[in-house]
Amino acid sequence: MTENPAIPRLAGEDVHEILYDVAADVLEKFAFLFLSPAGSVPVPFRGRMFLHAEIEFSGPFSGRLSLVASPSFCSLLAANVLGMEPAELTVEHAEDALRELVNVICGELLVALAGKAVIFDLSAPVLKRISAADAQAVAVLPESLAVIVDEEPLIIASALCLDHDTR
Amino acid sequence: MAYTILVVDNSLLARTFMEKALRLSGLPIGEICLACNGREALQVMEERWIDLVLTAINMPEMNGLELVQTMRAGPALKNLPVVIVSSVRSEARMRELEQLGIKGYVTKPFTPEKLKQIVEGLLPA
Repeated sequence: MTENPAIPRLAGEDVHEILYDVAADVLEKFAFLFLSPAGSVPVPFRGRMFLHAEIEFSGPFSGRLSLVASPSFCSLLAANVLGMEPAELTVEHAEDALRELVNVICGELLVALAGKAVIFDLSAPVLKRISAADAQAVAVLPESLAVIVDEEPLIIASALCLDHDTR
Repeated sequence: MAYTILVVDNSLLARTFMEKALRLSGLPIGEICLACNGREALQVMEERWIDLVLTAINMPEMNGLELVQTMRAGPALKNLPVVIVSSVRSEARMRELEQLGIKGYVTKPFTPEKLKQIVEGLLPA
């Protein structure tokens, strides 16, 4: 079996490090927002409802990327992307902002992992509302990375199927 | 001369962002028409004169590639310039799109200046 150069040889910590750098870069360029690691401090899940956006990708390897964030973070994100006040925006703008963010982070993550010479197909991002308890459950998964953006938690979870199509 | 641009994306945020970026680009833009998918875009192009199409790929009903293939299949829209807006920064995908006659490809996130660089050279003289 020939090793496929597009499949990264990475440990979980390496993926987290790359994911953190990619998310920081995208948030800064996309929305002029700056993130910091949540570290060992428990992530503050205030509020009853959170938004979960997920995108799937397939190509030399496959997987999915999810984001979990509060509605207020999504409003802030939409406002910063569009240069408007949160009060001027609708719920649809805020929900689209999280979909766009997972889409853009996924695109950049795949370039960081596999380079520009290969083609990945990305699904349309799917958004759902989840409870604070479910958000907390995603945050503690081994594949999840918790960061803080403007005092709001953002959970980034990646699942890569690296053994896909290795011929 | 002010150009009429058609923006195609199922995301309200993306449509609003592209509209603002076009307005801020400094290009002589007149009207900006909006559509949520390829099918709506074709309806707009039946009714309006469009100088350039700015479209996403992943959309329900009719995606961006199906839109371009439909445009290229008929004489009326065959040569209308199309710019693809995508989060996929793949050179291989760009080469694939070039074969469909797509000369413009902009990856998210982008600035109004970047959009201007891509769009400017594709607008009719």
